[in-house]
Amino acid sequence: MSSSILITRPTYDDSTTYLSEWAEELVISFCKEKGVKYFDLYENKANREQFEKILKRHNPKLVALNGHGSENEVCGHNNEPLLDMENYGLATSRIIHALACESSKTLGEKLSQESNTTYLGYDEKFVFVNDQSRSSQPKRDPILKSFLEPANTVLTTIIKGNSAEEAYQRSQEKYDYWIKYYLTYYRQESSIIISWLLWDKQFQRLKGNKEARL
Amino acid sequence: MRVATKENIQDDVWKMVKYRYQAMPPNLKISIGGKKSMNKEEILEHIMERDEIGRMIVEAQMNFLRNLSNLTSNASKM
Repeated sequence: MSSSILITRPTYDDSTTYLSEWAEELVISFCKEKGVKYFDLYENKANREQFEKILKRHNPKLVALNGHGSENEVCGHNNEPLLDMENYGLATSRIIHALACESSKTLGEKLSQESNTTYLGYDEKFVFVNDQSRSSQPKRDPILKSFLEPANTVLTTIIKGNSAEEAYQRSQEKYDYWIKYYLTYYRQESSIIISWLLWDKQFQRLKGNKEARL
Repeated sequence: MRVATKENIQDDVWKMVKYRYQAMPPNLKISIGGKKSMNKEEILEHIMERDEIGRMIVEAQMNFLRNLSNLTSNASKM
């Protein structure tokens, strides 16, 4: 197992584009800063063939999935399943982080029962709010940041050398930070933003090996 | 937390959530799962249809209100 990272970043609709942009901003830039080796499956390279090839050939310890998902799968470009109940064996003995809907419920549960495997994801739909007036520059959207920074804190904490459990705790604390921010600087849209931050926080899960590290 | 069903959300609750989202600034969009990002009008349609997305929106808002007291007390410790 190599201490490298595989990141998938499909970009075929608004939601995947926003996840992809913020993964670049927060995770890829952090890998570069720390000199951590990463494989970036961007746009149409986020397909099942490439995904499986990199897992087999380079054996990355950490897998960071960004995309649409369901209880049984996480998808790549154009909704092609990258990881599901058929090829989940390729993900064993790794740390999997899925910024996707519902995948920790069944897929994550299944993987977490495998030896030395960790799954961090969401048991319900992952929701975020964004400012449409900043849609051409999503990295400059502070509302979007308040949703994607807590989620990606899992990855940056693991890249720093911490355990999966510490990563989960720091991510939960980051959700708390933004909830407190919107309560303190209360404005018209705060109750809507906070309701969804609370939703994501409450459905974020850590399953399997909590002591796993990169 | 998933306690709300089509049967047990009262009309007053649907109305209250609708009013809250009517006050949402028009520049905001919400992305719920695999659905495309929804603007204010699309969100209000789901609430008025009382469909699955509408019920999720109500659950999230009711959960926020239930937790408001704890959240406020924690925020004061900031």
